[in-house]
This record gives sequence, structure tokens and C-alpha cells, in this order.
Amino acid sequence: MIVASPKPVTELKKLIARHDKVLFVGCGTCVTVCLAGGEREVGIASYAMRMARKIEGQPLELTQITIERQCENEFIKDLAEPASKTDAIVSFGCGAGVQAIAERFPHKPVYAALNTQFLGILEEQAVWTEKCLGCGDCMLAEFGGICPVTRCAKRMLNGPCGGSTEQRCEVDADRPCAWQLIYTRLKNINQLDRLDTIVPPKDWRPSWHAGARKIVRPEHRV
Amino acid sequence: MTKTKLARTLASGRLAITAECRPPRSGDAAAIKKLSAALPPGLDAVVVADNHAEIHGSALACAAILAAEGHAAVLSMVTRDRNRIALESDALGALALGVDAILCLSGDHQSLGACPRAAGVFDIDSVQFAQALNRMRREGLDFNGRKVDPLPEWLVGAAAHPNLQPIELNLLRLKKKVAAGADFVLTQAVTDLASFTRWMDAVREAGLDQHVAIIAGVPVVGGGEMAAQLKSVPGVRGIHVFNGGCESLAAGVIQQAGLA
Repeated sequence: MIVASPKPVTELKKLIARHDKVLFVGCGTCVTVCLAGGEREVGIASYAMRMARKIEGQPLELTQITIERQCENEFIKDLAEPASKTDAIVSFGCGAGVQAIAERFPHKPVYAALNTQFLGILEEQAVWTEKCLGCGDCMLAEFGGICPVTRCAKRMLNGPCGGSTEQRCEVDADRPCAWQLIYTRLKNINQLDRLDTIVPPKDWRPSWHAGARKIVRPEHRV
Repeated sequence: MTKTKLARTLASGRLAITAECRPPRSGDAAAIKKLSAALPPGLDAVVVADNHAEIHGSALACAAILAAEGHAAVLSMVTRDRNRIALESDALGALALGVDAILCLSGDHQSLGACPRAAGVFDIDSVQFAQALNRMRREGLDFNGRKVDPLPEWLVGAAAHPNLQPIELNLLRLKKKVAAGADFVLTQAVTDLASFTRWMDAVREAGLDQHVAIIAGVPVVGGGEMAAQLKSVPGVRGIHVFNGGCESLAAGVIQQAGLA
């Protein structure tokens, strides 16, 4: 899923400082699961923002709503009515959600309440880790299902760097070295021979290096 | 191998002596010439660091000036800071300026010192870079398959990490560097002779020392004593002094090790 974190309340307050009527929009999908932008988080942020503005003598008229998915127009259309009564929209969705709403409301300011961070998994309670960069050309088969493009700080495709110590990444001692994991995994599945040959330079064209990507699947178009 | 001084020494079977040079954070060529004068004369190579741990002046410019001053310069190039276009282009440019040996490195991660807020490039890794330089000198082809004329006669180096465990993974990585066409590998600074010797034993057992010249690095502090011992470890073909930015100290380490 897409993992995001809430922006600090002080930053959020600054974002909407020029508005008196705002709509806070939560998203019921990924950011609800990662406890960043669901109904509950929107409620907490709304309460904090109302309090802060009241203390400052600049009360905020705030409406809150959470839609199923901010990344789909089908759900965004539910915002039309509440949005018409506000000066600005604050999206608690991921970056895709924020932009989808901004496209749908071209004359209304739309702000991001979250910092969208990565595609990852819930590792343990309230701990998420990044697993995929969305590079567009999945190489996981070559690396025993562990992605060095995402999980190695130097995106090394041919083994660990010299900083791999005690099985930890030199950049963050709290993070395992992806290459140590790859080695162990390939060994466990009897595929260590995959490390015998040099992996050629990656073709980055399917990645974001060529600009924002688009997928068209004709078989699903009607 | 090429006509590079380091290549000749390695081919002769003599122990190669090399030292590090960190380019000054300055745009003044005189500052580089000052470093040049501080380095011991007659080294088989001065390995010029590429923005190691902080932003320095250009390693390429420094290496070119050192070469013009009579040193045999090895240019370190990190894949952290350049994509494949810039790496190949700068390597060719270095050769045109008299720098005919490249040490292919991934580079310390930028967050560890060079510039913590910077984005790292890491378009290719050091093995792929070494392989690309090898392909260029053998087949005369760049990354796009376009002809490079004449064939660049450069020496290709890579890093080796004696402390990287487990040893099986360590050797797999070293084998890739050999397969990529590295002529020499420079180890990290050795501070533990026993563990280095164990690594060298494994390297010799795998026969890798027959395909690549291993140059053992020593730190400037205690380096003389360490180098004196490393030079007799079977398979060690050279000694490199990591002088940590104190170029004038390299001579003392070399003398103390009885290598002068």
C-alpha cells in the first residue's frame, strides 16, 4: 500500500492560514490503513485546527468528510457539494489523491495534509517499511524477492557495498542491508548461482526518469 | 594492461606503492600544486579521491594537474555523483588530460558526509562501471554502442572490502569485479592483520589473486607498521596509504614500512 505520514499540525495550520472556510477530506483506502489520513485522523486534525484558530481569534469554519478513494473520480464527485461551500480543500490522501482532487476542482485551492512516502508494508504495529519504488521493470526474480533498487541505499545491483557491516546498512543502522538479505534468501532457495553473473545497468525508461508515466490497457477500455 | 606506471609496476612483480590525495576545496590550481609537492615523489600512483566525505574540488581537475606535475594519477570516480553518461564522458576527458587509470567506486553514501541533503545518482553501480570501462578499451564501444576511437588504454580499478562478511558473499562480489575486468582492487584500510590474512587466504584459495592485483590499504595512523607486515602477505601486490587528507604524512608511512 501507499504509506504516508501526517504533516505537523504547525505546518498544516500555516497551509490554511489564509482561509476561513475549509474542507478536510480523508481517504478510506491506503492512508486509512497506515493511520495517516482516514476518518479518525481527519477528526483529530480538525479538532486541533479549530482549537488553534479559536485561540488565535480567527475561527475556522471546517467541514470534514472521508471518501472511499481520493484517486478515483467516481468517489471525488461526492465532494462537489461540500466543496462548493468552502474556500479551500485540504486532502488527507496520498499525493495522487491530492492531485486528483485538484484536477477536479480547478478553481479551488487544494492542499496536502500528508507527506506521501512510499509503497510498503506494515512490519509490526505502527511500523511500516518501504518495499517498492515502482521502477516499472520488476527485477525481484533475480534477487530472491528482495528489491535492491528500493532497499539498498545505493541501488547496487551486483552485491553489497563496503559499508555493509554486521548485516546492517551503513546509511541507517536500524535497517538491514538488502544485500545480506538477498544473499541469505538466495542461499535458502538454492539460487545463489544468480549472483554469479553481472547484472547489467538498469534501463530506467520504465521508471519516473522519463517523466510521469501513463498506462493504457486497451483490453479494458470500452 | 596499459602503459600506466602502476600497470608496469604490477606487471613487473614489484610491490606497488600508492597514496591518496584529497583535492582541496578550492578553485586555485596552486592549492593542488601544493599538495602535489607534499606527496612523496616516485609513487606508482596517486589515487585522487572523488568528493570523499565532503565536497572537494574536482577530482578530475586535480588528477589532471597532478599528472601534469609528473605524478601517476589514478582518478577515483563514484557512481553516487554521476550517471552513466557523465561517467563515461569524464573518463574519456580524464584520459585526454593524461589520467589513464580509473578507480570505479560506488562512493560513500552522500548522507554520511559528502552532502546529506543531496540526491544520490546511483544510475549504475561500481561493477557495471568497471565493466563499461573495460568494454570501452576492448571493444571501443560506449553505453550506446557508439564507437570510441582510438581505444582508451586505461587501467581499471575497483574497491575490495576484506571485512565484508560472510566470506562467500564477499568473494562473489570480488569475482564480479574480476569478471568486470578490473586490473587492480584497492582494499579498505586494513587495521586488523589477522582478519585481512584470513580474507587473503580465501581470495587465494578462490584463485582470484591470479586475475586481479590486490593493493592493500593502510591508514595513516599505524600505517607504517601495518604496511611492513602486509607487504609480506602472499597475494598482496601493492600498498596504498590512506592519508586522510594529510598528503605530507604518506612519505613517513612509506619510510616506516621500509618501502621507500
